[in-house]
Amino acid sequence: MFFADNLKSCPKGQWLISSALIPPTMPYNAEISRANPGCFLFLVDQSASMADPMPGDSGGGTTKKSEATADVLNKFLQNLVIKCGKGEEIRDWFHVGVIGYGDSKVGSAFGGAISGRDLVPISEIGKSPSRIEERNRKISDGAGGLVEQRIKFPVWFDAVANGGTPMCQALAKANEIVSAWVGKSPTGFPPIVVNVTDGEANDGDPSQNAGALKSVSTTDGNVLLFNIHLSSKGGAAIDYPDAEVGLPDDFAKTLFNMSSLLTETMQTMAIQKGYKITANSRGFVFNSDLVSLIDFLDIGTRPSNLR
Amino acid sequence: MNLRSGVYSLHKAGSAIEDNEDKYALPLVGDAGNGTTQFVCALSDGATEMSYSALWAELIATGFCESKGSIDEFERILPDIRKQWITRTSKPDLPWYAEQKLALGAFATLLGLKIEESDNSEELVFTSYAVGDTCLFHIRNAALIASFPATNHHQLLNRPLLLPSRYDSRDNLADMVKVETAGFMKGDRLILATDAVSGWIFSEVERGGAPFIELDRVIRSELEFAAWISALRGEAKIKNDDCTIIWIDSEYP
Repeated sequence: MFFADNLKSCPKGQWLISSALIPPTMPYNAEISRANPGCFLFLVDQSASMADPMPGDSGGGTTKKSEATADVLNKFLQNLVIKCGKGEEIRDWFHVGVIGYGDSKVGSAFGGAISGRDLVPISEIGKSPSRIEERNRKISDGAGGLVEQRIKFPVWFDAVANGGTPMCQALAKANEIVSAWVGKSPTGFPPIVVNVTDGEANDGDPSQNAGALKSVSTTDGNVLLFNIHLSSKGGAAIDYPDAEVGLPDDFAKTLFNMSSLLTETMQTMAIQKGYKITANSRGFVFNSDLVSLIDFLDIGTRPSNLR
Repeated sequence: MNLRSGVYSLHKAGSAIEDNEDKYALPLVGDAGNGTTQFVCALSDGATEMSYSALWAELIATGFCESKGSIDEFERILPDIRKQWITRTSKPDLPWYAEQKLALGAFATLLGLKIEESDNSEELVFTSYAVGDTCLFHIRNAALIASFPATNHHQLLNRPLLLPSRYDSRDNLADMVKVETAGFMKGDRLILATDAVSGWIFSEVERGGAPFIELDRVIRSELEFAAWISALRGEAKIKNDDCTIIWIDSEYP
């Protein structure tokens, strides 16, 4: 059987249907369309410690956090391009940016033809990977089994792990970018910012910059800031906590407190994926493995009303 | 058989008319094969985010009618319909994203309707087959007698089941399709509607409104229907999606 949401790019799931009966005055309900596209901005820690092994790495600790992050975000971009694809066209339902921070630099992490650009329409992203690799993946054979298939894997940015963690600067840069976006789309779905980091900011307390970023708003709601913490200190995975109790260190607590609450649509989506969610669950995960990170991006970039 | 029927469809606001992924096949009145006549129609809502869903929706709606409303016959020709979709969408040298999207296939709802003569000369009998959230409303004296497959707006909030263009052994049509049969008397009306209009109807029924009186007013002309949908969208009373209704009135006997 096929339910719409069994395929990530299938359209008629609850996040589309439920919007039919939600009063338009509720936040995070603005329609996303080519005329009113959504905005996703990723902040990627590229500090030296991102070369440490990925939490929960099933490959025996050989996968670096920087490599896993690059793979997950490239995969996310690939899925988003496919989601927006219609025949040979890519519909500009989203504009996306990836800002890298490390080695005392903060700036676009895109390579290839879109190198140096902050927010790029998804159609241009789809047509401008810096290269296309061939990878293996397992797919259904249509008879209940799996077969291995070679698949094209586009790459827009590469793993980098070098220098410090200028997270405050990255959040300030994000503020500039989303403020400009909101100026042009004052009634649209507010930008969603996802910060991927493994350690303590070394340019100050990021809470203030995070607060300023989250205060930027459209008529549909405030900017959403979500955080992925890949701690070098280890510790069990914690997904979408609703309180800081149980978080292992002060920096995890800081990132938790910087994180926005999940919207109702995202809560529903997370519950459907099997996570324990309350009304106070935040868009924050600690030491999650790759599968959970992919889920996180899927949940955290799920608006309510794509058209 | 003495029926009157019509269909109106309006694409979502902000999209081009050719982007409308609601497709229908209407009407097909013919010999049922046993010396009696029957009426068959179908409505299908293609999944927005997939490629070539409109083509898939059109193929399955047409296929249902070509099957003369027999779900067994439709199941028999479904592999050929899938081959048609693949033939018409396959192209060499597609960009990576178009190739990967195409591999996912297309998806669509299907609501098929067959109206037949019955042993009772006072009424006809209709049988409806549904996969997904495209709904049938049975109306008598401007009141709702029954709806199918959803019976309230909450059921439209669930993830709809969709018929895929790519075969998978888990995809057994018999497990997916729901069937409903009832008598269709003189003066009765049937409305087939895709999910946006169905959602509005349920909301109105549940708040004690009179949606079928309002619908009766607007199904007189395509322009009236389009203006009405646009007004509902402006008031946020209906979601901005493709909106299609097929209506059938019984004047039998």
